[in-house]
Amino acid sequence: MNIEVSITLKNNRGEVVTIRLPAGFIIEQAQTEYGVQNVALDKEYEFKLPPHSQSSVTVNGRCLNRKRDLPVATPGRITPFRYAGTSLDQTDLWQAVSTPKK
Amino acid sequence: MQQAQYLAHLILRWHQEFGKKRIHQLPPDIAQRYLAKITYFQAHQPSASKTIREIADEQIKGVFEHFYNEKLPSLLLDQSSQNIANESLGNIAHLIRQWLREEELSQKTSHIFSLPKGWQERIVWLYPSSINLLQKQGETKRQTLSTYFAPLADMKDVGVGGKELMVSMNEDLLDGRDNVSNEDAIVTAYGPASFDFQLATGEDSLVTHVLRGDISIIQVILGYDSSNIESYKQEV
Repeated sequence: MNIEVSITLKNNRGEVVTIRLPAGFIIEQAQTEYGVQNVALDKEYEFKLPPHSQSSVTVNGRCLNRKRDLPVATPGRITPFRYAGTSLDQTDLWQAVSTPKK
Repeated sequence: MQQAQYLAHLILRWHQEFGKKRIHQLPPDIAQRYLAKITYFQAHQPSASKTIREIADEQIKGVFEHFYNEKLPSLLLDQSSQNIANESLGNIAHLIRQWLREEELSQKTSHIFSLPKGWQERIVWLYPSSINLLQKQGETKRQTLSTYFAPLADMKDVGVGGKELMVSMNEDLLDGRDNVSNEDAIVTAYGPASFDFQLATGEDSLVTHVLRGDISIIQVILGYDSSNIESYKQEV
């Protein structure tokens, strides 16, 4: 299952900034009480942002919550986390997060 | 805890001083177990919560239960404990269990989630973890989890979250997550690494850039439909 995520960023520096989104990088729903999915990126993305510019990047991700609905243009938020499991295959990912390690 | 310990001590003393004298009222095999249990507890004075709980359990559902309805003689009670003079040994044991439970719950709820110190600047590996949280009466599981993971919302102003993620990941493991609890209950919360989540910080990482202030997050949209615009995965 594929979910597109649009991220709009602004470079506050006076030089080009290289930005890396690691594979499995997690983007959460701003409000999960409405039962909508969080997303883990399907691969690593890297891009450069020119000085003092504002741009958008569209990336793709996997669903993290099997029981939740697909997001449809809902606001999100980046997190400090990435999914570091062995596989970003959708079935493997769901299996891993449904049996948390103790 | 001191009160629970004191009452457990009194229960044990009753069996040592009074119960033993009435052992003939018990079937032989039970009498033997009864004496063995008294000997066991004599060797384990009720100073630890484990022993206190064992004595209470024995009084409620073990071999001490044969004297469930007996009462502590006033001469065993100090002035501050006269209010339980009319309570049965069984009821006193229930009171002990209640105090122990409240003590455990208060210890468990004193925790709040935090990432390892310095995680923003250095490489930190997260380890699987879990904790039992008190779901207070009148609270939903979601509210309990939200309180625990609240510190992850501290970076919300700069566009970095984590609380909603951790609440929803844990919530998905629970039944009746929206149900309001009628009594105090326990909710288990798993930390990020239990879901195979690690930190996404590091050189050139978006999170690190944002936390340093080099990059600002203007907007994040999930379920974005790029088919309506020029198809390009990296529009920058």
